[in-house]
Amino acid sequence: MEMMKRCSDIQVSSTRPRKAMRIAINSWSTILLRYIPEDVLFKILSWLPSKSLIRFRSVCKAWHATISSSRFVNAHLECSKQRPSLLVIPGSFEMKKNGENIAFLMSLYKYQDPNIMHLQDFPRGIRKWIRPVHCDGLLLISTRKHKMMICNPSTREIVSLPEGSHSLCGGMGLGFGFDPHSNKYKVTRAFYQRDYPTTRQVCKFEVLTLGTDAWRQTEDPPYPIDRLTPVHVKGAIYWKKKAAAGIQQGLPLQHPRNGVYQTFLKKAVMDLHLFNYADSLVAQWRLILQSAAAPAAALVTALLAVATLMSCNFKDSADGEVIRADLALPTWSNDAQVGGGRRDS
Amino acid sequence: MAAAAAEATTDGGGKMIILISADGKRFEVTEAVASQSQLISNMIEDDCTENGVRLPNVDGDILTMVVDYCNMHAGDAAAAGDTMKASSTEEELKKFDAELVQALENPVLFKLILAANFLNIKSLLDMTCQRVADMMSGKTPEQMRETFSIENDFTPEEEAAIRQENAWAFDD
Repeated sequence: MEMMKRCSDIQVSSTRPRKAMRIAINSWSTILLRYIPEDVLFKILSWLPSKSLIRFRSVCKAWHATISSSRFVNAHLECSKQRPSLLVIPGSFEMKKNGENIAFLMSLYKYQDPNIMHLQDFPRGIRKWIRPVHCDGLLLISTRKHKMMICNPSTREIVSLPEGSHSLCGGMGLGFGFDPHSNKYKVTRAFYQRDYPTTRQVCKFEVLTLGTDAWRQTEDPPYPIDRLTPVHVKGAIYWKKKAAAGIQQGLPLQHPRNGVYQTFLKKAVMDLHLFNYADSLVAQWRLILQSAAAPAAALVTALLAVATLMSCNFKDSADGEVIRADLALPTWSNDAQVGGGRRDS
Repeated sequence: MAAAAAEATTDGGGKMIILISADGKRFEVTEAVASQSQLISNMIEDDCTENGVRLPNVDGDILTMVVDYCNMHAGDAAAAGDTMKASSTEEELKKFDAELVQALENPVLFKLILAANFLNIKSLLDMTCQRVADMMSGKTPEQMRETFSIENDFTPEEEAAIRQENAWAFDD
C-alpha cells in the first residue's frame, strides 16, 4: 500500500523530466523484467553512479552480494573510466578576526562541465597537507606531519594509514598506485634516515600495501629523492632525483618492482611538475633561455614546456622536450589542487 | 530500413551474410557489419553461415534496429556499397546512438538489450545498459524492488543497519 502511495505521489507532483522518467520505469512490463538474465543486470548495475549503488545494496540480499563483490567493483571501475570526471580539492585557511589562521579546511568538489558540485568536507584536523595523489578515484591525502589517509569520494570513506618511519626531511611526496602484479593498491614513501656510524643522511624507500598494516622497507633508491610529488603511471611510480637548489637537473626515476631506474630528462629545468595525463607520464617545466642580445646581463626568459615522457624513445633525444607543448591543462588558482581522475569507484 | 539493408549487393566487395529473425524476416549484411556481433563473428570463423544465420531470440523489428546500428558502426559500410552514407563521422555516430536509445519505449529498449546480449555486441550492450542505469540512478530501493519484482529478504533490522551505514546516499 505504501508503495502505491509513493508512485501516485510522484505522478501528481511530476513537473521535472527526471520524475517523468520515474513513472516510465514503473510502467515497465514486470513480466519482461523477470527475464533479465543475471549477467545483464550485472552490466546495467555497473553503469550506475556509486551513490545509487550504495542505496541499492538495501534492495535485497542478492543485490547486496553482487554490489559488494570484488568482481562487480572491478567492472564498475572499468565503466567509470569511460565516463571520467574531475575532482577539485581546494584548501583554505579559516582566519581569526586578527588574521591568524585557526583551521585548515579542505573540501571535495566534482567538476562536471559546467557545474561544480560539492561532495564532502574533510575532517577539520588536517593541517599543512601535501598535494594529494590519486589512483582509480581513490585519493591519498598526507600532511607534513606524516599523517596519511585514503579517501574514497564515491563512498565518502576515509581510512587512516599507519604511520611510516620517521624522516629527517618533512614534506616528502607520497607515491600511490595500483600494482597489477599483486592486484593491490600500494603507497610508497621516500624518507631520510641518519646512517651510523657515518652520520650521513641516507634516502630509504618503504611500501605499504593497502589492506595490510605495516610498512615494508624496500631496496634503497640509488639517488636521494626530491620532494616533488611522484606520479603513478601504469603500475610504476616515477620519482625525481634530488638536485642542487635552484635550477634542477631533472631526473625522474622509476620505482617499479623490478628496480629499473631510468633517466628521462637531461636538461636543466625549473619548476618541474609531473602528471599522469591519459595514462602517460607528462612533465611540465620551465626552461631558462639566455637572451642573445644581452647575455652578460643574464636576462632569463622562462618558457613553459610540456612533454610526454615515453619510456625509451625520450632517453636519447636531448632536445626533444617540447613534444606536446600545446597540451591544454586546466589552470587553477593557487590554493586549488587538482586531484583529477575518476570519481565513481 | 530492413529493405534497404537487404538490397545491399556484393559488388563493393565483402561476403554477404543473411540474418533471419524469429519471425522469418531476412536481412542481408556484409561480413564486416555482421561481425560486430561476437556471436556471428565466431560463426563466420567456424564457416557456418552458409544458409543464413537464424536468430530465434530476436524479433524482426528489433533486428532491424540492430542491423541499422551495425551498419552505422561498421567502419567500412561504404565499401559494401550500402545505402548508408559513405563514412560516418564520430559526431554523427554519437548523434545516431543518442537518438536511437532516447527514442525507445522501455519494453523495446529492454528487448534491444537482450538482443545485444545474445548477439554479443559490446558497444550496443554498453549503450543500452547505460540508458537503463541512467533511468535507475535516482530511484529508491523500494522503486527498484517494485520495478524488478524483487522481494525484500532483509529483516527490518538488517535493512535499517545497511541504510544507517551510508545514510548520506539516501538524501535527495
